[in-house]
Amino acid sequence: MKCPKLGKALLGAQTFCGINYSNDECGANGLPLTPTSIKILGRFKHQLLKLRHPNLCKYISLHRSKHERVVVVAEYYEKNLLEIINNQSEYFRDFELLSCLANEIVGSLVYLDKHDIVNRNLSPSVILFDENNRVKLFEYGLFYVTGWGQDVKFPIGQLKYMSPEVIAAGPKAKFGICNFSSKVDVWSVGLILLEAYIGTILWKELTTAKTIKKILSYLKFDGSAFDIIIKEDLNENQQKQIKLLPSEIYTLIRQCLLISAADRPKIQALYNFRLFKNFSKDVEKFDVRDDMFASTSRMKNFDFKCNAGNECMSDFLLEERTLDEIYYLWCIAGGDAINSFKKAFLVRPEPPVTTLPKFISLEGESAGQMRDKSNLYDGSVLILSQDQLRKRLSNLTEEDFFPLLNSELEKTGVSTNRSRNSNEFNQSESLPRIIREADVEYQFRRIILFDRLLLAYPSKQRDLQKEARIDIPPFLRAKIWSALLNVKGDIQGHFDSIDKETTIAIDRQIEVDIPRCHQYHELLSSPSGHQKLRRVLKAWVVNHPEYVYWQGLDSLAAPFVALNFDDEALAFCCLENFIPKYLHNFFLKDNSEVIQEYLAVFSHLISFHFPELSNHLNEIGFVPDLYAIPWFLTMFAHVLPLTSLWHIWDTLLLGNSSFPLCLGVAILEQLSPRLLQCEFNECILLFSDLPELDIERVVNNAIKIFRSTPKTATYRRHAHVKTDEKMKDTYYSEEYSLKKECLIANDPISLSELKREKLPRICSQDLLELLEFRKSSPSSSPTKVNGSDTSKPKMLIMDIRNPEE
Amino acid sequence: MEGLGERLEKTFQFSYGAKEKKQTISGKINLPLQETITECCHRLMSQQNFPCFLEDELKKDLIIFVEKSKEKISDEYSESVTNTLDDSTEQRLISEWCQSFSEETKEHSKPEEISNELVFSEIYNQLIHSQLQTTILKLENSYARAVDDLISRRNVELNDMRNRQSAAMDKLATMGSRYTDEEINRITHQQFEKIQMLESKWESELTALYDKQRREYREWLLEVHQDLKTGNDLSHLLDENMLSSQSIYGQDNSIANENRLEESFTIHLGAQLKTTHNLRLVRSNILDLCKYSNHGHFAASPIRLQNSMSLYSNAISAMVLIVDDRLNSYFGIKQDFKMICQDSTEFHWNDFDKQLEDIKTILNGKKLQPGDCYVTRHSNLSNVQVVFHLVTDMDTLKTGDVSSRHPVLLGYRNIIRTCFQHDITSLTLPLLLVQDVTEQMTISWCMKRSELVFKCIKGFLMELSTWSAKQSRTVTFLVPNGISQNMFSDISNLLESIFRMSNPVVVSKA
Repeated sequence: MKCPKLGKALLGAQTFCGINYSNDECGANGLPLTPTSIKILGRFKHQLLKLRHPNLCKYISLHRSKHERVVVVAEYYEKNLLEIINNQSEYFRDFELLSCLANEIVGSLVYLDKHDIVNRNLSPSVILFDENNRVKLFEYGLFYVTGWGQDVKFPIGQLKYMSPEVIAAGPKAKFGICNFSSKVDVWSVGLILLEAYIGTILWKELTTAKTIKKILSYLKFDGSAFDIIIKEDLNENQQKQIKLLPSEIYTLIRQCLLISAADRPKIQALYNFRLFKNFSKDVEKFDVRDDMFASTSRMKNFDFKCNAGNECMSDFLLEERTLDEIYYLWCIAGGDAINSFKKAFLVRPEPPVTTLPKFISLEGESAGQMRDKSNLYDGSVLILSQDQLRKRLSNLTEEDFFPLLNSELEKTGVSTNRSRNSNEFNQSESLPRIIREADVEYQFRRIILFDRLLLAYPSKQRDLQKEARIDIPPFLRAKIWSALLNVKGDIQGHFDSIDKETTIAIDRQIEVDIPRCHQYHELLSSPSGHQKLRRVLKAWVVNHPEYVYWQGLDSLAAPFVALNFDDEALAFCCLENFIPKYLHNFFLKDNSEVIQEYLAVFSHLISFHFPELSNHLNEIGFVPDLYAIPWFLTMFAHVLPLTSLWHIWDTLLLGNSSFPLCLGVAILEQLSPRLLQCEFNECILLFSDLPELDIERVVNNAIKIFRSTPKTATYRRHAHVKTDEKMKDTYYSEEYSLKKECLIANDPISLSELKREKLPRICSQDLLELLEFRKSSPSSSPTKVNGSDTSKPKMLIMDIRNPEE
Repeated sequence: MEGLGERLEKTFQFSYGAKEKKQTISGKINLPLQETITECCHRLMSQQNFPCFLEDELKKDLIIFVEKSKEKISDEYSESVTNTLDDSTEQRLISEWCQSFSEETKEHSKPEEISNELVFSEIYNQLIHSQLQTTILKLENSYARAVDDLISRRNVELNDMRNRQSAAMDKLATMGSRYTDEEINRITHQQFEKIQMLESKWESELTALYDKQRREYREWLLEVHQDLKTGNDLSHLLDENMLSSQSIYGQDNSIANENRLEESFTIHLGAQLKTTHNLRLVRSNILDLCKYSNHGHFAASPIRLQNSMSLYSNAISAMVLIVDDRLNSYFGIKQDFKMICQDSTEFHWNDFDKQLEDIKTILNGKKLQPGDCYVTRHSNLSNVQVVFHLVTDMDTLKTGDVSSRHPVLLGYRNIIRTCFQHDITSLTLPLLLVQDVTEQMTISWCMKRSELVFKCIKGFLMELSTWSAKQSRTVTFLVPNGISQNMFSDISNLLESIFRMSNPVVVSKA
């Protein structure tokens, strides 16, 4: 689901603080309460990020800062309704414009209602207009994202536009579920339309108390507050204006302001009013997938703009990029939304030494604290300047925005978008990953390139794999991974058809495992994250009755859930494709034979590459069974933090099912100086909590190990037999167990024999290849490594038969 | 979407087929839905073995059903809150809303009334980070000398009187029975009163000096700040100090303590994502840590400078002082601590006694219990800006049986939590939970106690750093001076075995 384009939008940021649980309250499960900012972040990524409607400002990002402060970044425009009412009071006297305004507001609210979001925060100041005077609702997710107000202390919404029942429920009405429906927004719509029409803000001079009194006083009446307002608050001239209103609009406003919530129409019902009969009412279409997994034609809404005016070319082209992409680049170009607030003096926290409590009781209650005034809610919007980003990208040309994707280039080995600056670009590729990931221009080019390859998915899958060997831009990792995993088809339909609601036997175990799975990760530790992981896991278990849930599946699913937080279906399908490729039959009820074979091959590889280490480990009896099962069962997802795992899997996904073995060997290699000095107990201790690793080195060494291992040495009987013939293999993703000429595959040895042997067997084809009698396939590495040194003899053959033989 | 307790079970019915062959099925639906309508629809279909051509129809009905149910719930809720409205609830609502708007939103809150303290803190923080820092420190130093001078004169005079009095008493004693017990008592009483009078005379003189210095100091700062703002020439302030700065920094300010032993460790916490923290093990008297050396003459030392610069920063230091359950400072470590506080004028906070009074007010007659903790702030101590006074029952701590649920450890937990919430990045705490060595403290006692505290602190750090992973903290474990060098190294080994040391980064050619 693509994010809208930047266009003329601004990036607006707002900030607020969640409640700080100062005391150790515990949730129903006995675990400490999740910090409110984490809950807020979870909801934001789960729901708000997904929303896209032409009349809603797109939410872009939410950052957590210290002390439960969050910063929300969203699309923003400077023109708003309040300004128009104040400065051009007659603007909406035009009925055409007024009904258009009504239609756009109501349409966006209907869309929100479809996603179970009650706005409750409507007022003229959050109704913005873009350069085409299209309504853009702003700050519509505040009530939802704060758990219907329960995670923040401040009241949500502008008092004047609150319906009588909202006022009557009081500011402290906190509830787990939303007890209000779209009807509270309908009330606000009525009031706003009335104000827009008469061109005056009502009740300007009323105090908070008087406003509340006024709204509550309506409850004594039946019918519509519209009639009362006309009588009490409008002057003669305005009353005259009301008489001129066409009946459709009059009825609409009147119905909106019905005092009893039960009588007031829902937003959906409002949309069916006569006033809107000429407008399109299809809100479903905004949620139809238009990404690479669209079930309809992706070309349908393709819109190719050309630069008709004489604007600056690079600005124009930049405006064609999506909002989230621009914001991503803005961040790596040095933008920091949290700091911007401090710089603009919009947030001025008190020095912590002054806010300390004076007394803390045994129970953890503290007293005598000064209230930090900077925690008060301040709705002001900070516009994030795009100047720096635009400057950084100013020397890009049209060709950079539209690189040629030519399959012909493939043969020459020159990668695709090197038309200009190619030297510079190649130089960047050789820099460490961490530097590349922080380089705006480099990331920009990579994103553009992958974006285009993904648009052509699956037809450009080979090019995509090839480019992914260089590196994967973090911004598009989710999509690229799914392409590498060959996810195809109507993934949403597939996921929707699986029952995740009915109780199954494994529920309890899943419930126990989830609060222990990668909980340092802010998304995975949020309630929304728990829910997502639960649903994905249950869906997998239900959809694969031949397998069972083994602990570790949670860790395996976690990276996909974290990466596709706004797209459960994709997370699920990635997991579903990942498991057969790398962990075929690992989740059988009796998986011992599969795992034993895997570990046996693993120890063969250790002996093959690092005989000294292998001897030492065998001597002290430190066998892979003791440490490597969680490594491979979760493909390292259990033992490594997600930040490291991204880079491991970036490469892992390019290799075949034996590549993880090489990663395992590479990890051992990195630890070998310590392992060689350790006795059994120390080894156990060392591996009980894996020390920090240099991930880039692990990956590079794993590639080296992979390249120097005879292919058949890693042959496993239980490896996956692929059924999808269409997908073309590269040197690295090819599974050699499938090759017909492979002798070992035709006559495999038994597991016990395999375990008895210390070293791998190789097949005669490999032997010939190593002796260079047989041309091996043209080689390039999973990630780019300079050509190998071929002058040295690759092997030495020793005949160890008895002389009699 | 979040797993919340309250869910309503509703029965959904769906009929299909022509009149005579009409079929009805029903299914249970929990509201609010935890699945999408499409998912719900698929679930019902597979559970009830539904023909797929009915999918669209079922879905349509389902949407209407869910919408209706939701509407009903919210309408009922709205009715329940609006129907019960009477005058008293209306009053309550008005005050609740007004309070909520005025106390929680900037728009409706009173225009920010910035306290003098806040203004002062901002001015000070600005100046101490300017070129005037040495000037300020020099001024503070000269004030401290004046206080020190007064204190030593007091001490001389008091000692003098005490000596004279005891000499007089001795003389009386040698005279044998010429005086009755009654008379001797009277004389003792007189002596005591004299001492007290002298003490209070000095006390008031000291207080007057503190007040005078404090007032002068603050006025001076405000003035200089004003000058700085208006762009007045401040070079006269600078020149003077440039000349003397060397002598200021030149002074030896290392803590003259041969007993001090120290070791530092860098550790990793966390299962997958690791956070780095620093631990220190130090053998020293706790009060030596917060006392400037050179007996009261705190020179404008680098430590002093660092303390001043970090006072209002986001990286402050604190220590834990273990105290009994009386909120005063009459004897023992509490008195010693107070004396250190009085070595120089407290320019930023209320003086120590006033801070204790504030805490008394907060306590409102409630007695302190073990595990409670009161907090004082200081700008004139070395190494720390905040002191946590942790209340315990000293006797049980000395005997040995302390479990991880002991109030003092719960107190440690509260303190560490407060540190995480208020940007206190460095904390010093007594490892053995006592501040001096006694006979009961055998080797095994010390090792057992150390192990318990190490493990508890490790647990607290892990628990509390879960969601604030990025910031690293320093925890200093303090053991008293009486601990032998061997014991110290045993404890250091224990620390290494309990915490996970971070690996040195190995640079290799590969």
